[in-house]
Amino acid sequence: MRLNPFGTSVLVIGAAVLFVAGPAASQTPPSAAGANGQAGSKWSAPRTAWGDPDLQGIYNSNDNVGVPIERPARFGNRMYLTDEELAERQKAAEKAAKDDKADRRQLGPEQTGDGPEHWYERGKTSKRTSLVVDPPDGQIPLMPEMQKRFKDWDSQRYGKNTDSYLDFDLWDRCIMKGMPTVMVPQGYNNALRIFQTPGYVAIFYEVIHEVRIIPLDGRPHLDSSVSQWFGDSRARWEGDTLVVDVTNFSEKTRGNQQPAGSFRGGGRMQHIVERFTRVGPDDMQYRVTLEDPESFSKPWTMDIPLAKNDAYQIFEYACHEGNYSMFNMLSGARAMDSQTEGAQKTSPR
Amino acid sequence: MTSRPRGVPVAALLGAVLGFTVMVSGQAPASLPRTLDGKPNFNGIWQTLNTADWDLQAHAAQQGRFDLGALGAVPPGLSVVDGNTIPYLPAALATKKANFEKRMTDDPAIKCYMPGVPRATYMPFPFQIIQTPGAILISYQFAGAARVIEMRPLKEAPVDTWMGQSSGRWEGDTLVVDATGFNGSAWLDRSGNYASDGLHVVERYTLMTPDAIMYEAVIEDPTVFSKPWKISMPIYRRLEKNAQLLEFRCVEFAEELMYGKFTKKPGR
Repeated sequence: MRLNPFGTSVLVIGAAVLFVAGPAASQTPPSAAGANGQAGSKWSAPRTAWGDPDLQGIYNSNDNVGVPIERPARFGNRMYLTDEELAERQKAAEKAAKDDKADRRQLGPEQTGDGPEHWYERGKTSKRTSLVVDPPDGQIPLMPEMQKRFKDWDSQRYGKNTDSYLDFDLWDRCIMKGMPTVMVPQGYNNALRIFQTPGYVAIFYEVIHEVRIIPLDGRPHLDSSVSQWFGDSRARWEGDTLVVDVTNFSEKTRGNQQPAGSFRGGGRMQHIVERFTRVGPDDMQYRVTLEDPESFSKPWTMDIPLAKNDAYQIFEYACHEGNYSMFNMLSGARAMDSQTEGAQKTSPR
Repeated sequence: MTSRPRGVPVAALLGAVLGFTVMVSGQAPASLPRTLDGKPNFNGIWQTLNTADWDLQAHAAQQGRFDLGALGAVPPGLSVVDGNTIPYLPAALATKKANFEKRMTDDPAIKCYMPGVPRATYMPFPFQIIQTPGAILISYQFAGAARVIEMRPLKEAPVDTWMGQSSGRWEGDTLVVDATGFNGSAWLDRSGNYASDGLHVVERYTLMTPDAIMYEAVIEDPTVFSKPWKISMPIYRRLEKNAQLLEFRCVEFAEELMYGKFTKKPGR
């Protein structure tokens, strides 16, 4: 839940500043621009008591909810919307929020729906045309095999393939939101909290209570025989930037994640480099580059601005414990199978 | 891992003696590792070394999962409960006994559900403490459960949760954590000991030596127990070089058990 005392006015100011900064920055990745547009000043990142850049606090990506991961073709290589396009997107987002709210109100007691209204982060967006900033066309350079997998998945999504729990993506199964898609702004729970001690940075994500505890002591990665869903993270400081190197991914993550654009997760060869840079008192720039010769034809990069808001309250996300969907979808599918079978047996020939 | 003074055997012996002092006075000896703000330093990877997760109370070895033979058996253990008695109210004792009968199927941990507090501490899995002045993160390996101990008083939890809400404070060199806001779904061990959503746990973490914590938890729940009761046990530092909390995302190990019956049979 967002407990921002300033409400939407912050967003309006943010959008205005971005507009002013827009033309100059529009063709370069916004690495020096903050989520709320407070970049470029003489601000310097605070330090911890032991001298590391201090990233600690609660951050969220709510100001970029609604920005697609991959760029719609009509924007070409353009990184920012025009004012007219922004107004259009804003209007569409507000309408979607209103419609969703109305839909939820219409749900009867016997119907299932999603969560209560206060769960959602809606009706906000930024001028970004896509989260992918490289390649310049904003598209994820999928290998042909991965393109095919993505297409196949599309046909599964709406209940066409419910033969087994393995037919569901890793978020449906409450195993993981995905790495690095846990950072991609979505309808709710976009927060993460950073803790630091000498030698470690820990990141606690709101979604599925993910915790990453990342050593800074230069130790080598885990043996290549050990793969993990979230990989194995090692970090170092480059100036004020925390650079995290992530390897040892599992083949089980490849093509099985909740889609982010056409990205559904790299596999055992995946190598991710994340860069966390505070660019203002309330702004962090998160940049992530992925490579995986089996999944992508070349490396690609997303920029995701994060806003610091220590008043944001993170609640327990007990995904698996409350996962009625898996039970209901699978048991429902088998019940439909039985009905179909029964109908075939009794139908006149 | 934090750097800390490495003791010779004599120092270790001294530490053990001073450790006793810790429990008496709540004041850790000056040689114990401290954070930059002067508090006892709990940063590191820790694990208990007992059989409390099988049964909090004293128990002999017994048959467990028969199909796993000796490896499925319950290891024996002394009680971690003060006085070896859990003061259940009569109806709650009946529930506990029913839980015990169904322990091979109904323990929520079988499904990889979050273990709750205090069980997360003494499951046979490590956990890592990330200690900052304002908040302490504990990341448990089992089920990837986590909790943030806010080092300030908190209002009543707005929602009930598996891991509850934790508010910490220092009493001398002891970290005292007040945990409430539980949903009552977690068990306290594999023997069916349990509490309700009225559970209130007060935990005390005290460094005995640089590599051992004395952990005490007073458990209170007026709908289940006639009076508060206490467990205590040491927690040991994992001293392996490059010790690391690896993933134990156990959902995938529970899915066949939970959803396998809904898998479409071949040819249908």
